[in-house]
Amino acid sequence: MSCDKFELISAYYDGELSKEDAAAAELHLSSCDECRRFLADITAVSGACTREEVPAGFVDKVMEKLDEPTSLPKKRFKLRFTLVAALIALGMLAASGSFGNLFGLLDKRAADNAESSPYSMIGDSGEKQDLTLDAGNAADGNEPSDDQAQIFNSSPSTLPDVNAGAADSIGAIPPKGEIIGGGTGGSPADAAPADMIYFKAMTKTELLQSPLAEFSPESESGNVMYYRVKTAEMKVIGAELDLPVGEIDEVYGSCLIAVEITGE
Amino acid sequence: MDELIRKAAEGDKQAFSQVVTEYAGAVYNTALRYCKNKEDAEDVSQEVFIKIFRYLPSFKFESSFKTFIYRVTVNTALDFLRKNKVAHEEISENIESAEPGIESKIIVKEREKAVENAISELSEELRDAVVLREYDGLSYAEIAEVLEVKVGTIKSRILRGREKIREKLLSDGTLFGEYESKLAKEEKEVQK
Repeated sequence: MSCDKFELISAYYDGELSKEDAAAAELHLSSCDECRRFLADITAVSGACTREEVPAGFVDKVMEKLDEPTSLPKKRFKLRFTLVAALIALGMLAASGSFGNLFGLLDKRAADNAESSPYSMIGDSGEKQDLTLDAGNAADGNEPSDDQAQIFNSSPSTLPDVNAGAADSIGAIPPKGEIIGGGTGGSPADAAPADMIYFKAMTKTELLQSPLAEFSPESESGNVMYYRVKTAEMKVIGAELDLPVGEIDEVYGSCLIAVEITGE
Repeated sequence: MDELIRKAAEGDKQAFSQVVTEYAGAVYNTALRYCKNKEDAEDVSQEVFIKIFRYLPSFKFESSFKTFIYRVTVNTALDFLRKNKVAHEEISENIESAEPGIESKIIVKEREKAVENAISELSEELRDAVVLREYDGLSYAEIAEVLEVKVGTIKSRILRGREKIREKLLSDGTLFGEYESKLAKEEKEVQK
């Protein structure tokens, strides 16, 4: 039989109680054998949680690796593929006029730049950013593989239009690992980094019927609402919203969904 | 430390090397609780610091660097586990390398191993909280920040984790009469 004061004792052991609560815990301990046993056991368990020495030369190995080019081509491909899928989806939405209002919010500088390379986009500050949205990989200088190029070139009839529209949209997408800029995208300046950022256009009714109805938007700008979703939850919620969630690279533990409200 | 982090964020590798030195133990030991294999833990730890270096330029000092580094560690280690579906190997080299004939040392190592195994059998959410508390000594508030849940949730997860570990260790005889032994020791000291 467990005493119902175990939680109090556990927090007492961790030094997480106020003076008053700690006194109450001590008083209880003086009269409860079960809690005294529990305290002795968790003390023994803690005592067995010892730390290991860091392997010799660890710091040097890390510093050497910093100078190596990144070795994650497979992941880069997957993330890019995810983004390409998102671009194509955005293009289809753009073609149907769903993003008309969103485009109006964005800086037209992006469209000019998008023509220069399908691997670049323009952020609020105007600099080129890697389409993987991975700030870490952007600097490694790896060229896209033939497979990647093929994907980008596989829809020649669609991509020019997609670029014209989606590049504008993507221009407002903050790169992973960087603060979302204010600027024309109107995103919050103090937003925390996110593993991935997604766009979704839907009507108010669709939003209310979606899993996002359970969430409060982290911020909003015009008719775009930003929802922060834990990465683990995103795998379920994103799938329900038909977003490409298969390859989230978990770093920060959360994703951002920018929802454009397209009507009632 | 903030100054070092700022310098490292600007690309100062000497400063980053000091940051790595400072946090290497924390990152490696946390990774070890997930990987259960020293080589994998070292690989994960290296990946953590490479990520940290890359993301440092975007680190805003509004949140704690310490919790940021733990968050990256936990996420990287969990990611590693999912990708590699690691069959939990028991860390036995500690026992093997213990000096022969020193029985008490072996008992201590056996208990450490039993606790590690019990922790590895916890659900992900309980294990995250217990590891950050027991091995890293983070406060409930810090753990809550790392795992992005409420402090009350952490308090409850740590309790549930401890109860499960205790139950397992009592059932396999690793924990036995801790309280009674403590009383006996105290009694001896009084007699002295």
